[in-house]
Amino acid sequence: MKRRLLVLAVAAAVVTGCSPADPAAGRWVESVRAAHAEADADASLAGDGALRRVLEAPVPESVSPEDARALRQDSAYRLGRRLLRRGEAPAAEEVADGALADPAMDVLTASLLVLRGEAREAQGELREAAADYHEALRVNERLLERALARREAR
Amino acid sequence: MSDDGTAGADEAQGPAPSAAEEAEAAAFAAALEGRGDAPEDAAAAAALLRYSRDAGALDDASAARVLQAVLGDAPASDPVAGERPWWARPWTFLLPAGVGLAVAGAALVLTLRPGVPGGDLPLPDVALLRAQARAAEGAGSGELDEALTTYRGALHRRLGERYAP
Repeated sequence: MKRRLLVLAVAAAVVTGCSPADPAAGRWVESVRAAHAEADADASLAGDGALRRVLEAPVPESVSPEDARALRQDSAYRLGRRLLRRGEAPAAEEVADGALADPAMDVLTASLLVLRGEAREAQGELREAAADYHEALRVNERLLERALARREAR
Repeated sequence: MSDDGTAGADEAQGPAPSAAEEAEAAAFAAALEGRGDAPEDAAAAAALLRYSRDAGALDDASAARVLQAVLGDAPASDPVAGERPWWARPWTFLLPAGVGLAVAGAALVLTLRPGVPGGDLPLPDVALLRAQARAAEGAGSGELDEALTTYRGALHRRLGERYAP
């Protein structure tokens, strides 16, 4: 009887907790990392292209939506920042806009709000820019409270 | 045939009934009126007469009596269940057990979905958040970009481990 229970417990653990990761998910995450490495090495349009491909490529279903959102928003921030530095504010705003369609209460969403605010400010859209900065600060304040609470808890 | 037409009627009635026939006719009449215990022959004849008149259809009163008898005297669908205490009734435990099995099944299906680990991203440190706040206040984004580069490295490491083949 004990032996049967042991076999059942091991089988349950294998099935529920230790399933192997989907190779497609690993490849996608690695492609994102490689795109950023390419952008590090090349500040020109070729580097932009690597980041743009991250935003356009389909995400494997085995990647959690939260992880996919984080990687895509970070890539969008970086691409938008490069565009803005080159004076392409409308393109930067468009990239930030697309990534903010899936917002979260985290540092990546707040950074994108800052970026979109800058892009809008550069185009003279001061009211919209102020709204983005305000929203970014609202998220930032919540995150800062949590971070300070964690620090105090240590 | 007589002038008043009664002769034909007399002929149609036939010869006078015998005493036995009269006795049976009396019993027959009693059976039709529902009185007394009619002889079997008389009761059968009355039933036949009644059936020939209305093809066996029940009148409203009889139908109501039959219905009352069926509904009023019918036993409960599960007479035993009505007498059992609540804890001895089958649904007391079958229903919660069914719901429990359904929930467990749904949980199992969700658990067995092909590996979607997810969540649990690296938390930003206070330096990154302060740089972000300053950028939102118009102090420039250089500091924020630098802090995000560090955060990005942690993010890629975490997810690279999570989805490692």
